[in-house]
Amino acid sequence: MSTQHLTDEIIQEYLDGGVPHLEAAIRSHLQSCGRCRRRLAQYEQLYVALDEEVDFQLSENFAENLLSRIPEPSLDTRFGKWLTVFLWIFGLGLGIGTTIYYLGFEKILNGTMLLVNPFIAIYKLLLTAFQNFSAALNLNLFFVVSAGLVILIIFFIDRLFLRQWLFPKVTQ
Amino acid sequence: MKIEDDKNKALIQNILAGDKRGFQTLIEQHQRLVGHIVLRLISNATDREDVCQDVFLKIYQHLASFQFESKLSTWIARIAYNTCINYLEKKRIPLFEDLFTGEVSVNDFGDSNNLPDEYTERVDLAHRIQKEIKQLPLQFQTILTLFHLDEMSYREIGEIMSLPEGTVKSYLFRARKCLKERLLEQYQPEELCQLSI
Repeated sequence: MSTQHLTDEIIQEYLDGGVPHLEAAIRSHLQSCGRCRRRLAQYEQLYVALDEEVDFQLSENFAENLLSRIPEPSLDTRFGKWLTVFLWIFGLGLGIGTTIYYLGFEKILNGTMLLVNPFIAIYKLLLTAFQNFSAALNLNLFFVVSAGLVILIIFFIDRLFLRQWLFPKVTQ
Repeated sequence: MKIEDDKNKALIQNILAGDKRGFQTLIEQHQRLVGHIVLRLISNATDREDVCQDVFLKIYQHLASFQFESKLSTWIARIAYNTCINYLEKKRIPLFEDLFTGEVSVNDFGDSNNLPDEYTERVDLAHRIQKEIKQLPLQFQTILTLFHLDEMSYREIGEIMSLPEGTVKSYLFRARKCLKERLLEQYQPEELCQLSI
């Protein structure tokens, strides 16, 4: 270090504080080498100039102008989403309550059963098919297939409903 | 760092909840950083403010997707850098890859014989250096600015510009060496050492 001149890279590293383990050796070399001292001084001047703030100012009302381009917050914010969910539940409850009050619970139940019966029939059919399918497989495979189905159902519910409703993603 | 993160998290939550004044605070905190990048990459002065507006609008639109995987300033600088690159591509302005393909030579950046008269006079070194920086490839200019004015690390600059840390360091050293040599073409070595700015 003391006989060889400092390279440009070493001088820059030294000024950047990137070679703490070499600082003593560099200082020692600089004491005895006028050429490297001059080059260091040139870089020091350059660094001072590079640290000078550049002459670029945004207009005084930049922020104001920008904010005027941003639409007022709507119900599409996180709070708005929760409010929407609340209003949906409230409206649904109110609707069902009013219907029950005017028509009576029994009529509603019978009417609902008429609507629900086909779904129950389909569910029973699927259950029977699934039981037959599981009987045809051994126990372990049945467990794996069942677990897979549960995961798939949770995945779809999450993708289709929960994430969309509760955590709306901002489009990039 | 932790306190800064907490402050930024609170600020972002407020903005996402619809607090426009919170976004004004964010603008005021980062307009210097965005301005530095835009100044370096966009040569047309009249377009700079528009580009800055686009940058902050993008920040506003994408704020919900910021997950604090990096510093907020790094994320904002990355958006600013990419917006400027898109602008340059749109305007078909050659990017750094076209201008710079190998070793930097002091002769690559203009002819010193054609420099304006003011260059023959003893003028403020910082002012002269700003003009010399403008002759460098855009990538070098951006790295110099982010390192010296915004005090960013090699890693942060690499994240912003999608470059490896080693490349950032290498470009930075070469840019400074090139600037020094350009100045030595105009000043005597002793003169450069003694200049006060």
